[in-house]
Amino acid sequence: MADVRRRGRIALVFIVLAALAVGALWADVNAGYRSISLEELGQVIAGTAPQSLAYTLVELRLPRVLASMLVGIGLAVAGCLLQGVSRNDMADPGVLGINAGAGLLVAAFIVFVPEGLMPSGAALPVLAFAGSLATALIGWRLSLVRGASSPARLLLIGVALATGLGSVTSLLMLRMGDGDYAFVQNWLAGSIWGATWPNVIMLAVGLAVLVTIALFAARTLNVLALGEAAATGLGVDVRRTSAGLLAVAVGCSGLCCAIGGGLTFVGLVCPHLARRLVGPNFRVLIPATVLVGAVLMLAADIISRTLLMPNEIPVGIVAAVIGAPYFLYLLAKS
Amino acid sequence: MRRRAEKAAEARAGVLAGAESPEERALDAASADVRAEEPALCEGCDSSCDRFSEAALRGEGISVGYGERVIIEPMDVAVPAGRVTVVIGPNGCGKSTLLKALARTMPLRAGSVYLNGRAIAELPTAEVARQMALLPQAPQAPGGLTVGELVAYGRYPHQRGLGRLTRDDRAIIDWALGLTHLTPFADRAIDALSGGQRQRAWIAMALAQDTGLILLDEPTTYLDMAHQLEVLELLRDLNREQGKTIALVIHELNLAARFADWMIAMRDGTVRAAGTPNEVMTAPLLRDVFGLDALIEPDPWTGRPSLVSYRLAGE
Repeated sequence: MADVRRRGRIALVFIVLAALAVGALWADVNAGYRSISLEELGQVIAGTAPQSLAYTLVELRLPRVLASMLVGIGLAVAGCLLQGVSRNDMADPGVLGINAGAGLLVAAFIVFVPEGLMPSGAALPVLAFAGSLATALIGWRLSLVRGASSPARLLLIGVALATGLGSVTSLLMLRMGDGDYAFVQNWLAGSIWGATWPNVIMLAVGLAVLVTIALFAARTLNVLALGEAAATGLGVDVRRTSAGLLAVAVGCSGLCCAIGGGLTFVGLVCPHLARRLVGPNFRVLIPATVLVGAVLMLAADIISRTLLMPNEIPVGIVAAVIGAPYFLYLLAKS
Repeated sequence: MRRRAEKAAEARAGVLAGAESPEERALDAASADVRAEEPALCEGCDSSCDRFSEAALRGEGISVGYGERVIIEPMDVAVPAGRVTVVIGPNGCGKSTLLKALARTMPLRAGSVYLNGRAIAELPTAEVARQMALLPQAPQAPGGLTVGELVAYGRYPHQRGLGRLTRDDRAIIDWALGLTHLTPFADRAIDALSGGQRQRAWIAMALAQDTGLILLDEPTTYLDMAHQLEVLELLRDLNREQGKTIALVIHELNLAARFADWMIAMRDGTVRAAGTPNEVMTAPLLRDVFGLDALIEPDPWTGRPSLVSYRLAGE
């Protein structure tokens, strides 16, 4: 009986989260000077809308809104995987030094590459992604002791890398003019800026693959959560699967970093919130984390775009301002 | 036979209901046990008996250590098939390390472990997990995980893909919950259970793994006396009634002698003796292994050798 009740509760959580996600998506599409009615949406879909409306919706709003949502999903899943593999509730994609490595390359590009040599809109996402992966690999290499890494060591090394790379970035930023400085500062705080359709599509495809892998790894994550010895006893090759899952997490957060900059809080807080809602079983936790990540990022995006209109607050700051009090509340409660 | 099972079940039900005082529970469990105690398969037989000749798990020349530090000296060791084997020894003697080395959770420096005659290092780890279950010392379940979910995780080495439970999986999970008397607790969170129930939940997970061999590292360490007995009786029932080979590390010598068919006594990373309780629970051996002067008498209720009193051995 209790099992049925629990399943019902979890189903209800999913229905509510999905409704919230759809609502937040619609609200975010509408956030801005011009709101869009359902009727107008119908016209855009039917192709009978005035061109300016179609342009606002399809070229400006939608890619931006979808990019926010996808970044939220990717970071939340990355955090969920990292927390699962490391059995450390404080693990967050930012902790691996991924954002710092991406930020360093972005800052270096702005300082060293003369303006006009390369279009920054195309170069920066690629650089940010490369910086993420390179930092993760360096961290992995440094964490090897006697040929074996451990998630705990990897996280510690990530903290050190983040601090070190961050200070080099600061050094570079001292040489920047006001405009560049503000851009990099915004990037580091986390802003959705690379929201073009090609970027959004790449992000969507990449995340679809990685999240699918994560879903298939759910049962392994469940067993890993019992500890290394118990997981081995149940037939998990702990080292190999941990490395593979870390790579998936790094891929997710690298992709998000390329579009969303140095967002940190989302990856930490979303898995916690999802766990509170549906429990620790990764088979339901990962889908719940996807929805929570989408809702949180969309909500943050709405606030970031409307609060100080026409100026935009970096969405990472909004996410942290929403997330931090809630996170403190969670910690105080548990 | 039937009476015995009923009595044992009643004793456990008493523990579950928690209606009695701890003293009464201990007494009840103990008296149930007196009746339950059948003469061990062939009481009085020794290690030459061919009941012990077939090994479910065997280490050949295995040693464990890092750099200069040796934890397990090169040794041959066997866990006889179809028996309950208990490893004893003082703190730091390497008994838990030996169990981990046999369970492949601790890398070997030398030697090989054979599981049902096949080298464990050459078997896929999931295949090993279909033949041998492991219950680590003081295992931790994530907060909020239910008993049913934990037990379902025992099906891991038998699953593929997304890990949906099949009808067979569910049947085995129900069977494991039933044997460990946890059916009514399936939807409870592990962290809301008593220590004894929690340990039974982990044993149920190992049962759901559906292996012939179960290794347990100090399954009774944090339990009170009644719960220790409850867990050990469960393990013995699993051995006698389900034919599981069981090997465990425990600290308490009298419990070891009472439940073991086969004992392995270790000191300083070496095996000092291996044999039946009558062969291993002797004054000279306890002096050698623990540095104790021990007075050993047959337990009037179980007939097993038991430690009546002891003092530190004089030089």
